[in-house]
Amino acid sequence: MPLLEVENLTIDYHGRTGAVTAVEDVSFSLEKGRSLGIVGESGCGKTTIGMALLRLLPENGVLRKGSIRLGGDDVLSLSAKELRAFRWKRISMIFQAAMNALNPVHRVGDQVMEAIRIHHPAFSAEKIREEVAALFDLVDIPEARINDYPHQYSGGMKQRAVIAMALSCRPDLVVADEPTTALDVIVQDQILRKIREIQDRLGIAGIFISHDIGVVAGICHDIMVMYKGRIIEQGCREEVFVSPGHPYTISLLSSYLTIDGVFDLHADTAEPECIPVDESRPGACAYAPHCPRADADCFVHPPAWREKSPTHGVLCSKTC
Amino acid sequence: MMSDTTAPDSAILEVQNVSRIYRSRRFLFARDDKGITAVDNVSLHVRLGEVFGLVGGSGSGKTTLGRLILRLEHPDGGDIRFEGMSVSSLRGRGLKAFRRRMQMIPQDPYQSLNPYFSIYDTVAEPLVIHGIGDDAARHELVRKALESCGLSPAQDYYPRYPHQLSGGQRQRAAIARVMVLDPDFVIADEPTSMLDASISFSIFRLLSKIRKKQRVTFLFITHDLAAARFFCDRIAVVRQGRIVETGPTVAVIENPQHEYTKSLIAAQPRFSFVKNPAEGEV
Amino acid sequence: MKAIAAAGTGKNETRSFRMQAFLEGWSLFYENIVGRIGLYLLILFGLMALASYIPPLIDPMYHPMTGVDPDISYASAPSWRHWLGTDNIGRDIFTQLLTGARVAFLVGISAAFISIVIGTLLGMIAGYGGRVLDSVLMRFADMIMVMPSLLVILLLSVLFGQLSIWIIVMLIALFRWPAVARVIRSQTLSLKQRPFIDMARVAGASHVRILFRHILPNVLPMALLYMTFRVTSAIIVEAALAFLGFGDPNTVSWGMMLQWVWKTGHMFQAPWWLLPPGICISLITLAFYMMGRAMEEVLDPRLRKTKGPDYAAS
Repeated sequence: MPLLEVENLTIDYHGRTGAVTAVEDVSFSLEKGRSLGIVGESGCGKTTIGMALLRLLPENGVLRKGSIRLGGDDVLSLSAKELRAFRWKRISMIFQAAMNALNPVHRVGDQVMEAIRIHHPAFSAEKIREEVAALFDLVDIPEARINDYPHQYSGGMKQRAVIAMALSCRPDLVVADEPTTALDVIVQDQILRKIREIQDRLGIAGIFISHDIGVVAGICHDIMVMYKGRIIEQGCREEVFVSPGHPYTISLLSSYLTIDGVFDLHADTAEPECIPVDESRPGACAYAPHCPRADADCFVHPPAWREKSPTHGVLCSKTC
Repeated sequence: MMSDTTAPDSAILEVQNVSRIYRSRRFLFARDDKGITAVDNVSLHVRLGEVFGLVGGSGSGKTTLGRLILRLEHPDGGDIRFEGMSVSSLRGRGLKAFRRRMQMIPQDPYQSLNPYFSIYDTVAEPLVIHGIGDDAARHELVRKALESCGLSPAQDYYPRYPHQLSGGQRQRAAIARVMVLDPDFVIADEPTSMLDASISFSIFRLLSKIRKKQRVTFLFITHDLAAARFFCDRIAVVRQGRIVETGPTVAVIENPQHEYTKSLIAAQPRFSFVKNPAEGEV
Repeated sequence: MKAIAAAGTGKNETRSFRMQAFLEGWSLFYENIVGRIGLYLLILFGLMALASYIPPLIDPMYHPMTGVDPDISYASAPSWRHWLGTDNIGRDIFTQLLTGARVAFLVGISAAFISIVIGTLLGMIAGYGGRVLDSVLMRFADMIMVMPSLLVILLLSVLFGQLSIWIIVMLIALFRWPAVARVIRSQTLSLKQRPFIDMARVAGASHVRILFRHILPNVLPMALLYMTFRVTSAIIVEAALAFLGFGDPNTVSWGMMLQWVWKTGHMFQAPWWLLPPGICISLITLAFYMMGRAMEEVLDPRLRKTKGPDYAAS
């Protein structure tokens, strides 16, 4: 049985002017110890999924439909008390701009200790201190720096401290939302390697959310591409990269700059134009206005989910 | 990099031993305060018509160097020469003429457009400031600038406000505002760092199109070697306010000399598993 | 720009930022019960001020200052002829109350407006002008801010005799700008760091252009907010001055009415005379204050009760 099962997840945001569907009919599962990358442009609903997994949706976010099961437990039916234990112990999150997640007036070590103490009240002070030392060792922060304040840390160290905090209760699943945005290329590379290494060592499953397919490609087994709230392509990393099925994925990959030149697989796709999207046809393919393959049919009928292989699916009627 | 310090005749911009030190402003008389050296004795030159890249991590001083060249800040030492004129000595009319020729493409399209200006007013403002053309001529220039930046039909965008545009469209409007003056030298400070990967590529395409069409010299500031490779003729790698390596882009990337350049290259994401799926087992 | 008609796929496509911000702000404001009560109260007082022109037209005896009921020469209780009664020489209190509303608006709004103009200008200049100018202007502002304004105005009126209502308005304005200047200065300081100001500089814009075309529209909402608070304080200062006997003797303000009640010894004899101006002063200052608080919530999202997509809290 997979560790995480998400089925038909649909989430609306209720604004002052009405409801907007942020995530529509999203289903996926994740095995223990594996990692999944969610890629998409800003506003495609990827962050919303991450928040929903931890039941951290903002007040105006409503989960209209679907189910989330982690290790067999129904996440959506947890009581407030169960939820407190569930977050951090079973599933934890590394937020966007996580360096701001540290409280500037407390020592970094104390903040991590606090997280452990809350979830393991039975632990002795000595035991907690050992745990913290082990965690800091895991993320390569020297022991001497445990009692520093956040402002004494560099950006990369803060990020690693936040990772240590997310791992403090040894969760089964870590959700990382843009874990390296705002970091240097070199630091980003270090952090990603570190996360990968820790994941392998502790057997933790991970969900990595990013707009940068390059970040995700380096660390994830599976990749899920989202567009306007829907999954448009899902598959193993190699499948998605070698034979991308959805025109959006193709344009993402062909516009990715690598140090060896443009990612050259599908080099000549049309440049995406700034076409104002007409939202008048509900159900029709949202990408159709930008799509080189689109014909009249795409603007009317909902796109079909095509399986290219048992593990690789594409939401496009024009894919064979 | 030693051979690079003397500028050839074709240099449009020369930066000579420029330093910039930020001092704490707390105490008026605290003169012993050493401060933070953001730019440390940097020399470089940019040739007419080329794209020169400044590559470095955050806090390397590359943005400060760009601001010094734009004369948004003054250097604490050294000299910056634009076509032989010392930039820091410019005043009044000379400064205004310089502003017309040297422009900047901003980093963050969400912050760099005045929210109270419509797109037409945003793009037309430089023309108004420099008193270029009458209303009809300005209208034509604004239309051309917007359309050459991929915002067409331009009329649709005139009355809109920045909050009604997407990030990519805003950045295009910001570029149109720069190009409407037909500048000779453009500094692009991480023009895509706030945009999604798929949109940033189209901005790069736009910049290279502009470069081909109009004879513009670019100084391209970035943290991304891959983008520099795509766009730049020559690059300088900056670290902690100093240039550690400079040379033609391909030469620097394929044969890096300095350790820092090597680690920058090693940190780039690569998709090696794609070409050799068997190797890509993670 | 004739393009406006051609543009836009939706109807709010072409709304200016100012318009959009105003409409959004307005609906937020209107949802706020405090702001709505404040607004209704102000409309009521506004109607009173407008209505104050009517009674003297009906009969000269309803003139608030000079109109005396020939039949009454004592403080009479409310009657059909005088809804709120009369003062001790037979002047109609209801008319005086209406006129007081007019004067309160006049004093409050003009004093607030002048102090906002001074405060915004100096605040912007201090914030934009660099360290020396900033220090000079702000120390000057501090000096004025710590002066006990009521006391100084009292001293001035002792020195120069009775002050006219316009001099009082000017004095209130001159003592009340520093707080505005401080807020506008700090806003300007942070705006100055915003890239669009750099972009304007790179485009060659002059300092005057940057100040008035780029910074001013951005600080204006805050200035308007402070105006409502300044109105409150101006009305209170004027009322205090008038009550203490240093008001303009030719103007019927609520403070002046209170002064008359007190001076003629009717404090506890004629509640119909004492209470209306007292209640009105409290209510109008409360109304402006409530408006200000509601506007503040519109301008500062942190004060809103309904949370946006801010997940860090949970």
